[in-house]
Amino acid sequence: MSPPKEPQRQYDDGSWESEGAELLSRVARHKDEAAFSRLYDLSVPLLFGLACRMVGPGVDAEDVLQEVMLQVWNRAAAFDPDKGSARVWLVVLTRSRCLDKLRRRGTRRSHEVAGLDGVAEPQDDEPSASQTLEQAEARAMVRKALAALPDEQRRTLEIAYFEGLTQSEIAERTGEALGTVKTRMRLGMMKLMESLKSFQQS
Amino acid sequence: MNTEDPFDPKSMDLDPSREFDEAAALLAQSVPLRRPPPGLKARLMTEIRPAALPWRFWTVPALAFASILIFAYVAHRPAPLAVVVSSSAGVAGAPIAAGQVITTPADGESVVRIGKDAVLKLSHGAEATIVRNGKTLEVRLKSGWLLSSVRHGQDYRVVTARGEVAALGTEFFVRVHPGKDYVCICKGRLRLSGAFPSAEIASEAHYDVWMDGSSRPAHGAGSMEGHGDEDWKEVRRAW
Repeated sequence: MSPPKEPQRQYDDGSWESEGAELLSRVARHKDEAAFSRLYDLSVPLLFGLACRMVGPGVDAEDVLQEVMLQVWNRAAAFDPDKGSARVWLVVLTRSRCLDKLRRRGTRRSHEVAGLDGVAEPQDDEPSASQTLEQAEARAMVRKALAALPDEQRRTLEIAYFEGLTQSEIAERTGEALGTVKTRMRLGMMKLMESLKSFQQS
Repeated sequence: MNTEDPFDPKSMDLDPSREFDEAAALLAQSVPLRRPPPGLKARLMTEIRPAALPWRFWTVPALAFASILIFAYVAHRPAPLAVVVSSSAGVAGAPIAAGQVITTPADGESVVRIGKDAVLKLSHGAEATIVRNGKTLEVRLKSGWLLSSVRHGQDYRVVTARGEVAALGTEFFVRVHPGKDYVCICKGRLRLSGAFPSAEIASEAHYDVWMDGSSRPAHGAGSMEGHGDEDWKEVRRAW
């Protein structure tokens, strides 16, 4: 008999990471409106912030959010906690919808290009006083992880992540060689994974 | 347009993994948190709820179904066989169902109309039931007096313990009496039957018949025992 598997530690933003999976389960099993409402309240600041960053603030971002949340309501059963956290699942859904929107537009122009010039302090809609200590710590950790990346790596990752440009397109835009772009992205992601691991261990 | 996801780990020579996804999500978490317009949640919550069906969707079929039930009940409700036209007991207008026992006190009387087929006057402690066997109306008279006016052509008979008096379109009087029953053929034709050979008797005026239940009924000139012209007037008014 094999020893019980130790549960994998996950990065928790301190507010809803563990609760999110339970809420998704209730939505999937019982079409629980209260759980869905709670999940909306917890996750929407992050998801809407991501949508605004990718497609720009306004109607498109609202459309994306609505599509994502409807997808959550209708397909919550597709969430598999063994494959990833609820937060990551929702972020992936949101980013995919944003990329769809960008492709329909035929442009992948960034809407907050200015933010790429450094790891600026996020100007949240919600004042920091309303955030829990854990949330504030989590966001500080994210900034710290990104700040640990060389500017070129971080910038390349952000263009690929938020604007959906391919490596060739990034190379064309930045004037770098394709291999350079690829290497920057690879090294950047490896460093992010290492940072994540060290946060989990600490 | 290229639709591949540029953030595919394979394009970076990395293995797809949970750690990769978690690390990529850090990028998403670096953006400022944003609150969507407050109305968005309300719209969303409305959208996920099953659309309320218009009121007509339920009420129209429900009303139609209720109407069918009411119609079926009315159509199949056992209609009263007869109705009390007048009564010394003050129950005029009361319906009488088939088989229902009708009684009058010793000093009371009731006039009963059976549709358009017959009018009866019961008195002197009458106890009777009315049933319809096919086309035949049958009054089972256990006691008391019974005056019958029957529509011509209507099969009608009065059954007592001693015999059966079948009207062949007539007016007649039956009085259940200890020892023998008295029948007066006021006008028309009767058939008498029982534990004796059947006999048909016709008369244009009052004619008496006595049945003791065993021997051939005796008959003779009318004595109008127990009934008179006033009774007939009352019965005829009830038609």
